[in-house]
Amino acid sequence: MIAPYYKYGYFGQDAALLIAILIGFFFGFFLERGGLGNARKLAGQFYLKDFTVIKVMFTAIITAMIGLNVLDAVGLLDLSRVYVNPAYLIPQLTAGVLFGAGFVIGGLCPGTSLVAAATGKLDGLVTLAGILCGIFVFGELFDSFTGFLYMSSYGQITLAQISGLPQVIMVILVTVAAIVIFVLIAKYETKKEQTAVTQRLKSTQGRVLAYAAGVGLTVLILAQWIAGPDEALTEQEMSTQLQGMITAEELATRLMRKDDDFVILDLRSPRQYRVYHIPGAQELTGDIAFEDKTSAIIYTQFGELHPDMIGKVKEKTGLPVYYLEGGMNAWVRQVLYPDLTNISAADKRALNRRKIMSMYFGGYPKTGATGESDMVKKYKREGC
Amino acid sequence: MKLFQRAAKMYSNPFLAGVGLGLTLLAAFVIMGQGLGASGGYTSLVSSAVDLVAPQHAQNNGMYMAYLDNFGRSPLNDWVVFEIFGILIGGFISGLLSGRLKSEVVKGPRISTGGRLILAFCGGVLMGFAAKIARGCTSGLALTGGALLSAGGWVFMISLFIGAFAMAYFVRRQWI
Repeated sequence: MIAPYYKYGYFGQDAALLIAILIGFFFGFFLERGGLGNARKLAGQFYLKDFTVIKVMFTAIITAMIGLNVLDAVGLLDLSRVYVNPAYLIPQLTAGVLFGAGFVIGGLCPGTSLVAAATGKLDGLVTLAGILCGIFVFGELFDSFTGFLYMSSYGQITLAQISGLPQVIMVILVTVAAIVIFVLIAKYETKKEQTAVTQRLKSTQGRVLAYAAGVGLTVLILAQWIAGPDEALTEQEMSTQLQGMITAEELATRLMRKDDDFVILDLRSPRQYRVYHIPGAQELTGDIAFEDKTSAIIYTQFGELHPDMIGKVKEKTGLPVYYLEGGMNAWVRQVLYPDLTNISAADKRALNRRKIMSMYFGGYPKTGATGESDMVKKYKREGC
Repeated sequence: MKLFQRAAKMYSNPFLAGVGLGLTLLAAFVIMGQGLGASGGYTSLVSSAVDLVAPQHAQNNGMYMAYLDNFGRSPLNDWVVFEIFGILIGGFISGLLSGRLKSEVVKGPRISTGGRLILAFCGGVLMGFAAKIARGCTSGLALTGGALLSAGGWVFMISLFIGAFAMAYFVRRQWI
């Protein structure tokens, strides 16, 4: 039995809703327990009077992060099937600043205001009402600033992928950074004598936390070491198993010309497939229709490939396998939402071709001029 | 006013609460393949309300439709909607067990109750709006994305702290 259980179909939607209540229960319970239902404790973070927010949040992050990566490394969980929040870096950077300002003005955030309301705090209830209004205002304005909302879309990208560092190293770096921050906070609190002793990181607890993190990281490193180098294919291996590659633009051109004697296979998770897939793409898990097709084109999110995938495709279809260079990310950035600001206006044909291509597949091109196509109306629901 | 007579206990050690929260988040990843959330559930509620009052208007709007079009089911028949219902119960039970169920307005000594509530509402509006731009809030993006090492999650978390520290001075009378 491999996790995530829901994604592998061990239970259905009704059971999922029951689990939602249970998980929500513990979420609310631990937030309240830690004092995060109290606006003054939360806001105190930003006056360096109370460090509860950072302590609870970073402990939770490293606990879940190490747990996830250990389970993935020992083979109990398929991390590639866990939904990663997509990156829209500029909107998220801007929204973060706005959200932070709102956080210190209101004193509570969306989750914690609900906890505050549940324990009778009137300010929690009022913050909640404000949040609902804010969402409504956004909904009303939504159609007028889609251009901004979809800027700098990088898909489900992680820090490891951006920096090029191995995932294990990134996990270790974040853990070490969190522990350093905890130690600095403990020193500051002791000096200022401002935090109740029970709320401080006592040396024994600090040791327990550090040991637990250390054991987790050791297991992670050992498991990775035993499992050998990353399963991703080397280029040489890939060339022997794959017939070749196709770029996103080539694929789009062939689809537009109906020159489609190939079957497209989406190797991402069912949820990602449901949210969006290349038109005509089929899921590998289902029954694949491939009569009269002479080749198979496969794609993943980032263009990463695992050896068993190609084997599975060959086994199911018997067709020569090509793969989409850069995966879904390349499709989104080159075909759906291409940045055409750098193509000189003189090259009108290239510009037009890319524009038509983008709009053909339901995207919109980014050009220097204003008055963009209003074809983009699709806002993705949050994955969480 | 205390809702139930029970001596209020100290909050538990934040590192213990953090480990509990982290294990809850891990359970969500392992069981469901997705993390925790809050603002997503509120958006389902808001979209449903708009659909109830002005269905035509809601169905012409890309954002509301993203939440109303719930794979053929009611928009309220949604994982995060049920999860926030759980948060409500969990928060209440913890408050009950530790004697912290108390009808009050939490604020610093230098601001009136009315002033605090107005600011609470304004802060809420700002956060609701910003959470939609970012596609997530503290729970759904910063915490969940943080544990997944999502680039978007970390960018949001860091700029959140910057925004909050920058704004803190201007609303200091509310808290200290």
